[in-house]
Amino acid sequence: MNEATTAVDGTAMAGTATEAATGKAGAPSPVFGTMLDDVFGKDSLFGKIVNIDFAMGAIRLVLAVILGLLILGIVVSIIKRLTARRGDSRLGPLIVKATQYAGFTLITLNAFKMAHIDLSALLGAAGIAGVALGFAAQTSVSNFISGLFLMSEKTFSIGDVITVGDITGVVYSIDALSLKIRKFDNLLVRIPNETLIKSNVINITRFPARRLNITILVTYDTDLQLARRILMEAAMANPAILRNPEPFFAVQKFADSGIELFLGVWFPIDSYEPANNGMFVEIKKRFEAEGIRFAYPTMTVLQSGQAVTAQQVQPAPAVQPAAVSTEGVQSKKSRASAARKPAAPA
Amino acid sequence: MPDTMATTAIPALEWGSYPVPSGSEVTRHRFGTTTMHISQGRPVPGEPELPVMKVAITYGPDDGSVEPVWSFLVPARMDHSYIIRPVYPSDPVCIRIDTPLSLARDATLEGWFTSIIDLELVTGGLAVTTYPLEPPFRTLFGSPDKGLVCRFGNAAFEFQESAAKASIRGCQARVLHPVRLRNSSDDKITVQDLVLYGEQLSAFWTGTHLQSETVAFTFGDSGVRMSVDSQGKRPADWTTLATPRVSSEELALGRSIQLLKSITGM
Repeated sequence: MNEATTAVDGTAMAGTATEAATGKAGAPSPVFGTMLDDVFGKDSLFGKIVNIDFAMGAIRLVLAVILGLLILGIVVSIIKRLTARRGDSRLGPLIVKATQYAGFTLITLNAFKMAHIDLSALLGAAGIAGVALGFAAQTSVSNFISGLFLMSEKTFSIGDVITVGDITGVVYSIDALSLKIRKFDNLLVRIPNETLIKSNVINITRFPARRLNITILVTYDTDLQLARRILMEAAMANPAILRNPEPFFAVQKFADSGIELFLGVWFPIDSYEPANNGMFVEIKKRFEAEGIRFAYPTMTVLQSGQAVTAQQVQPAPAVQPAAVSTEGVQSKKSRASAARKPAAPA
Repeated sequence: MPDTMATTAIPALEWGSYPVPSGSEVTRHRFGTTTMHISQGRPVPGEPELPVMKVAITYGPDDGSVEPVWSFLVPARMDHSYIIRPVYPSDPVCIRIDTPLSLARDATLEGWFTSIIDLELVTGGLAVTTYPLEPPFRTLFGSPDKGLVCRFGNAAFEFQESAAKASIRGCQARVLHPVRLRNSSDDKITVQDLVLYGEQLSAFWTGTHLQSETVAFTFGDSGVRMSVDSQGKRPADWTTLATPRVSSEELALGRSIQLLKSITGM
């Protein structure tokens, strides 16, 4: 028993020694192969998989992936530099992203090939997986395609102040799938590109100058020529207001509670605060000094055809930007009133 | 007019170097209708002593009716003196001419107009701050979608040199610009606004007023271009108070890049 064992072991040992000496194992480093056999056990399932061929292949695969990533990094940095030099903040990030995705795909395909994984089988399965992925990636693809359209339209760029829906802020970054806006209260908002395609986008800082629209409601006893002169003087005295285009004045309409005046003044886009605040403060100050009264909604209530009382109805701001009109509020109150006088200031 | 010019006294040149006033003294410099007030700032009690200057600009009469609003300046370097010198505004200035000028095709017109200049305060060899010598109103040159926001200025266009010089005799806040307008477009044009890029200009004190090089405006089909005739000979007794901030080489390079951009659409 012992001899037989010895004989068997001796044969085995001799055979191994011969293979090691002649290098017939097919591995470049028989010693390394033996070490693998020692570690994993030659006859074990793991030992059959993890042989010297596998180890070399794995090293080549890792090296190829690292090299691929390095080359991709260099290409991406060159593209970034080129797009930055061109100053195109919209298209640049998109090209970079597309290059990255294409690079990663190539590296992955190459890795599969080096690992001797049959891609045809994978591609066969891709038909089914594609349907599943198509459903899963529907939103992302839609956002990506929307991003391309947005880039081509060049409606805004990084640093512009835009309004999307009820969100207003500075464009912080333009990415492949979304747009990031930094609101004025320092909150970051991510808006999917698809939403931007479907929404009205207002670019506030696209042009060098803007017009500030001011609607003013004054009482019916106001001298309109005097009001016009005061408004024009207030505009010309404000350094934030542009001299050209000249301020625009108009009498809008005879409203329920007073005469509605309109003043449009132009200001550079970087001067909103001094233009807006300066105009409103100055108009109020000058009107009060000249005895011009702001009108606010009033109604007269008749009781049993006897007593007549003028009653103030919730004062509304009389000077307001046109964008925030209170016409709706006024008309509702007007409908509620039984009788009405055109001018009845408190 | 020459008689009047002969009798009007020219005030001493206000631009120059001055010692920082001591204690609570205030030095006032008057330029046209603008006054610059300068004083030594008082260190904040309990804080390390810093060289601080107090500066204020008031527009209008210098009769004490306008209370100066002081600004405290803490220069990086400060000696016991300061320099005030004229400097053209960093923004382009849009000069609105009182009476529009009509130029036929290929016509050339020579004349004179003035523009307001800024004041630069220098101490310790460093420019600390600048102040406009008139309230700096702004205007838009061009259309609201493509225009240029620039400093507003208005002036009369003088055809006679003597009248132009007489209009700013002794004034140290305005610069006289000899100009040449040329219409190289295919149509007749009307000129009312001229954009002046002061960064390309010098300012010389002639003894009676400030003056720049001759400025040429060429109106073409693609727009208007300003160029400076800096080669002209100037009398030796003129004092250079301001020099161009941008060299002609830089300008040529910048214009070439703009031209390339407009051609290639890059």
